[in-house]
Order: sequence, then C-alpha cells, then structure tokens
Amino acid sequence: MELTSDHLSKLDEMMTLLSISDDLTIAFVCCNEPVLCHALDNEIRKRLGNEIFIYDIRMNTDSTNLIQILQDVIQLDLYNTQKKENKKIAFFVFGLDDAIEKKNQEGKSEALVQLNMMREEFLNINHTIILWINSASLYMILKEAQDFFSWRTTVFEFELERKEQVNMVADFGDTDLQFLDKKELEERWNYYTGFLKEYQEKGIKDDSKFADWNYNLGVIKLLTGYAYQALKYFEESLGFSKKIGDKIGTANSLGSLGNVYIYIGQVDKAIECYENALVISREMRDRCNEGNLLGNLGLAYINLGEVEKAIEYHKKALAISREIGDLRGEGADLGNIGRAYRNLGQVEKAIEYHEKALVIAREIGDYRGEETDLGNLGVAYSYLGQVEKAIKYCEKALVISREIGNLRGEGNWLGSLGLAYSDLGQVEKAIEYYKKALVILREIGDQRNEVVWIGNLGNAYNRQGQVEKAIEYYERALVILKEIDDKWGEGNVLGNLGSAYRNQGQLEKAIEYYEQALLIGKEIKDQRIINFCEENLNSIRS
Amino acid sequence: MAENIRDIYHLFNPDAVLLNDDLEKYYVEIDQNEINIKDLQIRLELGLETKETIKLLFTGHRGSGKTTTLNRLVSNLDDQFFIVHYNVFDLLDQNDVNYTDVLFSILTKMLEKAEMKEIDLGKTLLKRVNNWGNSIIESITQEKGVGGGIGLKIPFSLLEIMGRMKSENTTRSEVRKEIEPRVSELISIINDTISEIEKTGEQVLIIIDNLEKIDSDKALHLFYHHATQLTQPLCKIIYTFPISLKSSDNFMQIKINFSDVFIHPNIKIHEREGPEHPYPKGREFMKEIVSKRVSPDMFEPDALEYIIDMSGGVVREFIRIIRDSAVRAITRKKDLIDKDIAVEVVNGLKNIYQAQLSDEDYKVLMEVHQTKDIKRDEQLVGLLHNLSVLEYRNERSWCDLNPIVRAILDEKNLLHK
Repeated sequence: MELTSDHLSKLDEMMTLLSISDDLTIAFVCCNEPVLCHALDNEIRKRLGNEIFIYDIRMNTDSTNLIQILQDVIQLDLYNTQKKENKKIAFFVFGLDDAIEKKNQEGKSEALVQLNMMREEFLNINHTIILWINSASLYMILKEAQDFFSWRTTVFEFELERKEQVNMVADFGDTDLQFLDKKELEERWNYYTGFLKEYQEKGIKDDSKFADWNYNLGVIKLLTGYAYQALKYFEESLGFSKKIGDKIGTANSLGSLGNVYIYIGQVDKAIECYENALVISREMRDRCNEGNLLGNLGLAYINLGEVEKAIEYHKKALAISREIGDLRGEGADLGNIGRAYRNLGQVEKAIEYHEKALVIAREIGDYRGEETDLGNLGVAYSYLGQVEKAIKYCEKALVISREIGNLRGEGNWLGSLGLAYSDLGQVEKAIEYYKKALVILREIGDQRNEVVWIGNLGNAYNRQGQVEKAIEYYERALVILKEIDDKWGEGNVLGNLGSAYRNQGQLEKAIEYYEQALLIGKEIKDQRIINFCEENLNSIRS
Repeated sequence: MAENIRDIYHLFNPDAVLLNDDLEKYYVEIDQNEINIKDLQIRLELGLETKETIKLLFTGHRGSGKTTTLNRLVSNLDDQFFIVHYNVFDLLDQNDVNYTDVLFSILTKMLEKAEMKEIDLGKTLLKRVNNWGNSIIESITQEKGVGGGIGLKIPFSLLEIMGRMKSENTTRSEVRKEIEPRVSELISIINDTISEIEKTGEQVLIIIDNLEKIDSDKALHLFYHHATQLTQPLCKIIYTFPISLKSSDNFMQIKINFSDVFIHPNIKIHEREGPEHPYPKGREFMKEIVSKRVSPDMFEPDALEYIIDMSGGVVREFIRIIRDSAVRAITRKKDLIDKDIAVEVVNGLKNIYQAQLSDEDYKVLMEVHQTKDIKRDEQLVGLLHNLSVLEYRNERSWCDLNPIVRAILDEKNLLHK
C-alpha cells in the first residue's frame, strides 16, 4: 500500500528520534491495521539503510518477559558483532499484542506486570526500543504498566487514512419488516398507509393501531435509509403510545428514535432516548428489548469513541440474548463486539466474532444480518491487508443489499469497495465506486454516511495530486458536518484542508484551517487533532 | 325435575359445563359473582369506546365456575364484539404449551371465525398468511408447501400445522424453532388481521379458556417470561390464569404487563372467623344449585348441610360429592342421600388430598389455619393449585383450609396447638 503524506511526516519524526537518541529511549508505534504496520516497517528499513542496525524482537504468549529477552540478546554474537563494528542499534519489538493476552493468577497481564516491575533494568539497555502495538494494547499499558509507560518519549500513532461507514448495525428491534426485500417493503408501506387512510375516512379513532402503523412506517423509512422521514413517523407513534399509556410501545418508539438520532449524528440525543427506553423495558421486564437497547447503547458509545465502554454494553446485551434464546439478537451482538474489537485494532478477534455472527444469520435466514456480517468481514480483511478477500466479501454484501432493497447498505458497501480498490492502488476505480455510493446515499438523504464518502473522495483526489478537486470535496463535507453537528468530523476535515493548502504552498490559508481545527480539537478534547494541528502549525511557523 | 336418585347422577356432572339451554335452566346467580361479571363486562364495554387493547387475567380455583362465567359473558357480549372464544386444549397439548403456541392458536381461531362470518381479509394479508404458513410447513416437512392459493380463505397450511402440533411432539418443537426467532412476523400478521376485521366496525375480543390448567412452571414461563409477547396483539384478550401464581414472587411483575386481574371467587360458606360463623347467603346459593336440578327431598337435610360444609364452596367439588354420594346410595339400595353416605364419600376424598401433602405443606397449612392470610409464598402456590387452600373474598381476600384438608389436620391433632 501507499503511505500518505501524513504517514510520511510522522515517519520523518521517527527517523529523527532514531538518529539523535544515543541512550535508552522507549517509544511506541501505535497502529491498528496490520497492513499499515507492514508498510511503515518496510519504509523505515528502506530509509535507514545501513545507518542503524535494527534488531527484531518477537514476543508471544510463550515469551512474555521483554527485559529477559533483551538481556539474553545482549549476550548473543549477532549483537556483539554489530556493537564491535560500532553500529548504532535499535530494537523493534513486535508481538506485544499477543504476549499481553497471557494472564497471571490475578488476571493481570504477565507481560505488563514484568514491564512495570523491571523498569529499572531497562536502564542497562543503551539503545532505542520501539514497541509496535495496537490501541487495545496501548489501553492495557495505560491501565497496567503506567510506570513503564511514563518513561516513554513518544507514541507515534498511525491511522489508515480512511473512514469507513459509521456503525450501521443499529438493532431495529423486534420487527418482521427487517426481513423483507425492497418490493415487499413497498407493499407494506402501501398497506399501512392504506389502513391509516381507510380508518381516517371511516372516522375510526384507534390510537393503538395508529401507533403501530406509524411505527411500522417509520421502520420502513429507516430501513430504506430515509432517516429524517423516519423521525417524523416515530415521533407520531411515540405520541400515540404515550397517550394510551402503552409502555412497551413507548419504549419501542424511543428506541427507534434513538436509532434515527445515531444515523443523523446526534449521538447524545440517541443515548438519552435509549436510556429512557431502557428504564421502561426494565420496569416491564421486557428482556428482549432490554438486550436490543443495551446493544444500541454500545453502538452509540462506539460512535463517541468510547470503545471499551461499548464492548461492556455489547457483552451485557449478548448475555441477555443468550439467556432468552434470541438468536437474531445474539448474532447482532456478536457482530457488534467484532466491530468494537476492530476499532481497537484486534482485527483477528473481530473476524472470529463476525464469522460466528454470520453462521447464526444464515441459520435463521436473517438476510439483513448476513449482509452486515459479510460487509464487516470485508472491512476487517482489508485492515489485515488481504484486499482480494475484502473485495469478495464486500461484493457478497452488496448483492444481498440490492436483493433486500437496503439502499443504505448498498451505498456503504460500494464505498467500502472503493476503499479496497484504493488499497490496491487503483485510485480511478475507487473514485468511481465512491461516486456511485454518493448518488445512492444522497437519494435517501443519509448525510451521515454521505459525508464519509465525500471525505474519502477528497482523499482520493489528493492522492492523485488533484488538490483543488480534493479541497472542493473537503469543503462540501464541511458544510454537511456543520449541518449534522459532527464536531469530530469537522475537526478532521478542517485539518485535511489545512494540509491540502499547505501542500499547495498557500501557507496563510493552511494556518487558518489548522487553527480552526485546533479550536475544535480543544473544544472536544481530542488529543490527536490537537497534536496534529500544533505540529503542523509549529513546522510552518519555524 | 329429577325424582329419582339415578337422575342425580346424570344431573350432577362435575365435568360438564353449562351451555345454552342448560345455562338458562341451571345457572344460579350469586351476588358476589354477579358483581364480578358485571365489572368485567363494563370494563370491556367501556373499552369499546376507547378502543383500548385491554388484556385481562381471569382466575379462580379449579371448579369454581370460571368457564360457566365466561360462557355467560360471551352470551352477554356476543352482539357487541367479534368474539373468538375457545378452549386452548382443543388446539394444544395440555402438557406442553408455550407462548408461540398460544399466539398461533389466536391467529388460527381468529381466521376461522372471520371465515365463518364471511369477512374479507384482503388479498395482501391472505397471501402473507399463506406464505408464512407454507414456509413453516416446508421447513418441518422438507416438502413444498400445500399452496392453496389465495382462493382459500383460511390457509390450509395453518390448520395442518395446528393439527400436527397438538399430536406430534417433534412437529411441535420444530414449529417453535421456526417461529421463535421470527415471532415478530406472527405478531404482525395477527395485528394486521385484527385491523382487517375491525375495519368492519366490530372490535375483536379473544377469550382463551383453560389456560389456567397448564402446570405452574409452564404457566410461569408463559405469563412471566413472555408477558410482552402475550400483550402485543392489538385487541382485547381475556387469558385464564392459574390462581396459584397469584402467590408467586413474580406476580407483581406479571400484573404490570396486564390491564387487570379478575378473580372468580369460591362461594363463601362461612366467614373468615371460622365454620362457627356460617354465611347464609352462600349456603343458600349452594342449595339453589341443588333445587334447580332435583328436589331437596332427595337429601336428608343434615346430609346436604354436611356436603355444603365439606365442599368449601367450590362448585365442582360440591357437585362431585353429590354425584359420588348418589352412586354410593344406589349401590346401597337407598333412595335418598343420608349423612352416613356423604361422610363415607368425603372420607374417600381425604385420602386423595392427604396423598398430595408433604411435611413442609403441613407447616404452611397450620399457619393458614391460624392467620387466614393470603401472602406471597412459593409454598402456598402449590397448595392453592391443588385446592388444599381456598381463597375467598370479602372486601379483602382471605384464605382458609379446604374443609377436607382441615379434617385431615384435625385428625392428626395439628389444629389446636
């Protein structure tokens, strides 16, 4: 894969670190995508050439004591030969992600306990040590090896410059509509609007039925991706349910409203809806809905970047689904846990979960679940760098989404295919797919997902050197992000705009955008955005 | 009016339910019950105006006359509602009923009634019902569905599934495996059927009888774990409900999901203070049950009083004791029932009751005898279920030992400690 300008500038810093340090220096490379790690590693070795000797250390569950490994290495000939030649030596440590999994009797990670306790011993290693980890491990180190971590110089975080669809797995709850294809959904749409009309004409006022029909109409709109229209129907349904004191109906409408808010990017509002619905479901002891709502809360927290919290919620949901024998729910929960692990960089674990979910979806004939699981597998494989496999899975998901008329799914799998082709270096083809995705998402008014692919389109033009076109798309993304009030996205796009202008040599404009991005970064306390902007601003000004 | 002791045998059948003409002829009104039925009826009639989807639990001791009351209710309301009234065991196996079965039976019975009343359910819906039924048939038989097309009003497949479910255990579990993950589909079909029917202006009232007879575990599963599903059909439903679950820890939770609980009380034959304080109205009622059928001269007066005492006010037990007494009188070549015969019959019943009781039960029974309080107690669940303890109502509910059980405890000298 090709590295982006962002990656390359961070690599520059790593090079600087490697060349100036002449004593013990501990640094981390945090990167969630194996394919990217591999590319970074290659690039560094290429650049270093003969300048520095890189000594590879591999840890695993059988070999968890890093200081012991290093002390052993120092005794070895290979090390001593290099040393005699007066070569500068750096240790690259791989496999800590695996080694961390081995737990001692107290349930703590053996590798991390040793790192933390033996910190002083590292002072005898007079070289740079770079640990390659994913963000799940980083989180564990912060929790279990703080003393060791406090000695580090830098954490170099690398991200694939890609954004895939936001979490689109929100549980639709217990409705048969999610099993229907496009034509059947249309039929049902006509059926329920027909009922509404007929009852109105006959002057029959039946609030519980009005609640039910409006709810169904909302679900149909949401399933086909028209989130804002769905909002209207769910609110209508909620009104009727509250009026007749139907608690189960109220909880269902609130839960679905929450789903809509997730789709349109108002996560705080979604959480509020879910929490309110959860209180009612617990009071009514509606276990099935309780499970659905916990799962949806998990999705909301993933959207907020609180992945550990999200996993907690998904696991609670999974326990309930299993307890009550709700297979569809179990499949959804497994898929969601997979998603969360992928966000933490534990891609293989994610794939395991998606495979399990896929088996269940196929067993019970849940096409929508099957589509989601296939697509998620595709995305996961692309993180592993197995692009052909990724394309195969995304195409399968695409076929199902078209069969069942899931426009949102269709749009997003088209986009994912674009990403995969861009990984293969086929940027033209990627652009084609992104544009197809945008047509569909715009039609259903799904701005949340639309903006993701607009951003990717901008990135693609950037890569092709068509910076003006890239800027045009970033600006368009910015308009939508402001509209749906997505600060995090706004900060990122502003940063991208800054870099684009910087590449064009328009430094004043670049500064302007970096400063705007910095402001947002500080507002939402996103260290990554803050660092990115500060570094760029400093380097322009100096 | 019977003049012959053999007629008593025929007229006092504990298994027969009063229907149609017999309901007119033999039904005895009693104040406390009449008020109860009226309440129930008014609740439902008010629901006609508000179109509430009322879900009621209707409960009472086995043999207290619930079915008779429900029959009366149906005949009172028949011209106001689209009533679907059925005995759940006509469709399902008594020993094994779960929530999907119940929902499935609701759909089948509703379609049957709609066909009988020639209500057009519309092509769209019937096609859906048909496809749904066929998909189940296909998956359980591995054969192509019976088709049947849109012409058939009740898809044949549903009747076939229902028939098989009652008799074949494997089919039953396969059908459940098929329905459970997609129970929302069944519920949606039920609700759309209701909407089609109610377009005609009539509102659907479903009355499911005998559901209270399923065993406590299954009942708990049904009413506690699956209350949300049972309450999802958008119409009015009366579920019969085992009185024993009222003393279960989970009853409060169950109650939240349903609109109301109606208790069909036993006839109070004495006051809470004990048998020394008889309740004449109740005893009169029991006598009327007899006098509507046979001349009271067929009994020695003290024999009838004794039978009333020992029935505990449970109508079916009362009728059973009379029938058994008639059999014994015929054997003994007597032409009326005297107290000796009644005592012999009751002694026979004692053995049956005693066989049901465990050591722990005796402790609870002694406490009931002392306090007469109904409370939440899992031990009491079983005792209410097997009629060892009976519930009565004044303004507030109270309970007492079944007189036969009381006699057992008395013989064991357990009552006066």
